[in-house]
Amino acid sequence: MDAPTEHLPNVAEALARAVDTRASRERDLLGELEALGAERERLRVAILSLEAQRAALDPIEAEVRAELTSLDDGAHEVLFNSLIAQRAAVAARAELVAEAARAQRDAARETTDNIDALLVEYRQFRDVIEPTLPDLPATYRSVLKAHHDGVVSRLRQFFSRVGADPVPLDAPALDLDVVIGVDGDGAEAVGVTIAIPVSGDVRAATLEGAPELELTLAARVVQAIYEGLDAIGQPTAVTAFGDHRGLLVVEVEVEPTDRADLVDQLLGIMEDVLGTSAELLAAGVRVRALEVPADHLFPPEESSDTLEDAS
Amino acid sequence: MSEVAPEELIVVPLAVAAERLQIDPFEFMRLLVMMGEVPATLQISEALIDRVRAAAGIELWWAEDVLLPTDASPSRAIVRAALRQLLERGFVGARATRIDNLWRGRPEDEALLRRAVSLLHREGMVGMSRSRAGVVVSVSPAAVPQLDAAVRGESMPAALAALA
Repeated sequence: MDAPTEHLPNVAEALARAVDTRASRERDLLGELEALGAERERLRVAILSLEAQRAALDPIEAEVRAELTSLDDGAHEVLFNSLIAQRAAVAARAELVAEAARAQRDAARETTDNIDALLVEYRQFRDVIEPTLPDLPATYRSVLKAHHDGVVSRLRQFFSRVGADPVPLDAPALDLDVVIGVDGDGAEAVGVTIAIPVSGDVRAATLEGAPELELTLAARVVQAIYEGLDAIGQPTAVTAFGDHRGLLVVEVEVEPTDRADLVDQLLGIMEDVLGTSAELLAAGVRVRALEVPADHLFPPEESSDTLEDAS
Repeated sequence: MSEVAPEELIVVPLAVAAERLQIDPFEFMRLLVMMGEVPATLQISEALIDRVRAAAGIELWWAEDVLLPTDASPSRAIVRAALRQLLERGFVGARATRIDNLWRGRPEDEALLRRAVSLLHREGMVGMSRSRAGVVVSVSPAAVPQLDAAVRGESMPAALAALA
């Protein structure tokens, strides 16, 4: 019986296995390197693609930022659209007021003939005849005086009927806004802008026969502005009147002042003047003065509208 | 009622009152505020119009009989006539007049006369300031001889050369 053979490590085989093992490991590692290279390449391409995508975001971002910078909440547009609608309502109300005043005047004329001729006669006496009275004989003087007294009496009768009091209108209340914007903190010159719901050419239009209510409303606002300027000690501040989108806009340049005091004075006086104006009350017009951020009164892009210096 | 003078009873709308004085309705309102005489309604009495005229020193200089001096330049003739009125009426130094008195009655020449006053103001020959009566002007005392010579047509200030 053969004795069992102990299998001992064979150097040659061991070396051959080691070579195989190394070769196998080398193949694996080379494969891994290849895979890493492929992955690296894939990532490089992916990075290029991402960078391209990132670069593509730049103009979009710039666009968004630009829009953000110039973001407009539409305040200017809605504000002026509201005032324009109010202006149309004022114009309609003005027609009603004019009609009522005409009716009252016509009724008064029925009982006082030829008022225009009486006025001409009255002014002629005052300007031409009266200065010469001392030079006339007493009899002429008394006849002329007696005639003139008759003219004055008839004029008094007429004007006591039509007078200066506005005719109360039976119409629903008309609520309007006068909008004030104050630009600046008061440390430097302050620009005050006031938008009024009347036509920008209200002065010329009234002279050409447009009903007076629009001019009256504007004039009362102007009164409040000057009273406010007087109250803060700046009665000679530079004032300019202009037209923006068909509406009357007033700009005032105020020397450095307490901003809060300026706003309080303007709003308070405006409320007082507009709330007690006999013409506005009779016409059923209620006006609220309110302050808005100054940039609400300026269009998003510079307007080409011009202002006319009041002086 | 009987004690009220007709001038207080006879009223005209604001626009008409302002037109009587040849001023803007809003300037009329400003003057009423400065005078403390804003009426309860904007129907303005003849008496009030007269008071505004007097308080603001509103004058009509360009009556029909104002003669223009002979001058090769029509513009210069008008400016010389306006300066003559300013000097003849004594508006020198502290005694100033509303700037629009210079062209009231001659609205077509407002731009020309505004420019002339502005040029003379820049040269210090005419003083200009804002007052409760409005924008007022007067001849600077030192410039009286020079402007007098201009009125007489003897010499023209360089400032007004551009107007010729």
